[in-house]
Amino acid sequence: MLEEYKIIRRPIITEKGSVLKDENNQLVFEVDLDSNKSEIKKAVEKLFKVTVLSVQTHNRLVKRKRLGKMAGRRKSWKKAIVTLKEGDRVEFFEGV
Amino acid sequence: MTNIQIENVSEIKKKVTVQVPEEQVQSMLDTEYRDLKKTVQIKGFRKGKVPMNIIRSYFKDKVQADTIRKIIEETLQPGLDENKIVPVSVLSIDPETIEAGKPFQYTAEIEVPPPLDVEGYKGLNLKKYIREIDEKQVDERIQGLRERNARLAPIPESRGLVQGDHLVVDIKAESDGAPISALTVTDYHLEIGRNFYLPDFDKNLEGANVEETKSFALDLPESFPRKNLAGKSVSFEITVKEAKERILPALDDDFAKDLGEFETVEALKDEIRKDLTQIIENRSKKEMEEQIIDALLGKMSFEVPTTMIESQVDNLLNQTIQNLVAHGLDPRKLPAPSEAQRNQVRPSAERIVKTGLLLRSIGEKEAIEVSDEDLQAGIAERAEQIGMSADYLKDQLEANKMTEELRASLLQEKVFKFIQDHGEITEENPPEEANSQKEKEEE
Repeated sequence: MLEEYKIIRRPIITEKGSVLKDENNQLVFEVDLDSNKSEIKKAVEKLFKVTVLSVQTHNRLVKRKRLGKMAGRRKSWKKAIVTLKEGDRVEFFEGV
Repeated sequence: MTNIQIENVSEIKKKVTVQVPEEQVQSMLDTEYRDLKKTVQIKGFRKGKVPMNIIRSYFKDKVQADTIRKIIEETLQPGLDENKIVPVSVLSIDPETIEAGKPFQYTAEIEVPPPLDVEGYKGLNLKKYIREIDEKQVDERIQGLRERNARLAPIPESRGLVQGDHLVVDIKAESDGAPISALTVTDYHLEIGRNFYLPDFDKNLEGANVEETKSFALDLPESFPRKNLAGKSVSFEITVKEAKERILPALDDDFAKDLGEFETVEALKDEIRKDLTQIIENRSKKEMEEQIIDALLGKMSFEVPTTMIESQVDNLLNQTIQNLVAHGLDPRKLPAPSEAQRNQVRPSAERIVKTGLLLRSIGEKEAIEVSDEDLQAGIAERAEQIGMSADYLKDQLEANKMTEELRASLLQEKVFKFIQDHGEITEENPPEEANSQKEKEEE
C-alpha cells in the first residue's frame, strides 16, 4: 500500500467537522499514531492535490471499557485537522 | 405542465410518453430530501443536523428512485384519465434517469380494451325453444319423494322373501366340512337383490320364510379376494332372523303435508311443476344468451388483451378449485393448475372476456345502466335463491367488494334482455329432444 494511505487512515465526517470545513476550510482525518505533522501535510497534498497551510494534531488516548466481567480497551488514535489554502476543495468532503 | 404523448402500437396496445418539466422534478426531489433530513441518522451527526450535501450524496439513488415512482404515480393515471383511456393493465414502464437541467421523461406500455363499434345486434334472428312440462316427470319426482320417505315394516307372515326385502341373517359357511370363519357372521344386514354379500347369493334366499334356515352351495368366483378360497365350492347355512319390507307412503294429502307446507297432493304437484318450469325457463334463457353470443361473435372479430384472458383463466380455475373445496377436498392438497389445464380453459375464458366487452359496449351505446334500484332488486333475488336475507347478502357483498361485479353481471342481463327485445324471435321445438331429456334427468 502506498505510504500516504498508511498515514491518512480515514476522513472523519461529523457535525463538528462540517462546521470546521464551512468556516475555516479545514478537513478532519484519523491518521497513523506514529505520523507527524509534516508527513500528514505531504500525504494530504499528494492524495488530494491541494495546498495545506497547517496541520493540527492531537492524540485520542486509550479508553478502557468494561462489560460486566469482561474488561477491554479501545485503541488510541490520532486526529489531524488540516487547514487548506483558500479555494481548495476535496471532492469527497463536498458530498455530491 | 406535464406533456403526454400517446402512440397506438396496435388496437389493444398503446405507448404513452410522459414528460415532466425539470422544475417540477426538482421541487419533488427537494421535498424528498428535506423530509429525509428530519429523520435520517448518520454517525457523527445529531438527528436533523446532517448537512444537505451529505444527505444528497448518501441517499441519491434511493431518493431518485422514490421520486421517479412518485412522479409516475402522480402523472400516469391522471394523464390517462385526461385522454379518456381506461387501461386494462400496464405492461411496462420505462423511466429515464433524472438529470439536472433536463425534463424527466418516461414511457409506459399499456393495454386497453379494443375499440368496439358493435353493429347488427338489433333484429337478430333468435330461436326460442318451447318445452312443455311432461307429467311423467312430475310423477317421477313424486315417486322419488316417496322412495326417499319409505319406511321399513315386518313382512306379512306366510309371504316368502322377495327382492328388496331387508333382512337380518346369521350365515354359516363350510368348505369340505371345515367352517370358514371369514364368511361366518351373525346378525348380518342385507337387502335382497343388491348382491352385496356374494354374487348369486341373494337369489337363493328368495321365497324363504322368517325363522327358516336355508342351506345351499355356491362356487366362489375365481376373483374372490381371499386366494385360498377363490374358486372353491362353499356350502352355506342361512338363518333368517328378521325380514322387513320397504313401504312407500301412500300418495295422499297426508304425505303432502308431511313434506312441508303443502295441503294437498295437487299443491305438491304444483310446486314440482313450478320447479320444473323454472328449470326449463333457465335453460331457454341460457340457450338464448348463447345464441346471442354466437351471433355477435360471429359478426365481429377483434383482439383481446392477453392479460384480460389470463386473469379470466385464473378466475375459471379458481372456480373449479372452489367447487372441489366445496366437496370437501383440502385446497392445500390440490396440485397447482398445470399449463395444460390453463390451455384447456383458455378458449372459454376468451369467449367470456369477449362477451363481456361486447355487452359492455352495447350497453354504453344504448345507454343501458344499472340503477341502484336494479342493484337492490338483483341482490334481493340472489338472496332468495340462496336463502339469505337481502340485507345480510348486501353487507357480505360490500365487505368482499363484490358489488361492482354484481352490477356488471346485472348489466349483462339487461343487455341480453335488450337484444332479445329487439330481436326476431321464432318459437321452435327444441332439437334432439332425446338428448335434452337425459340432461334434464341429470339435473
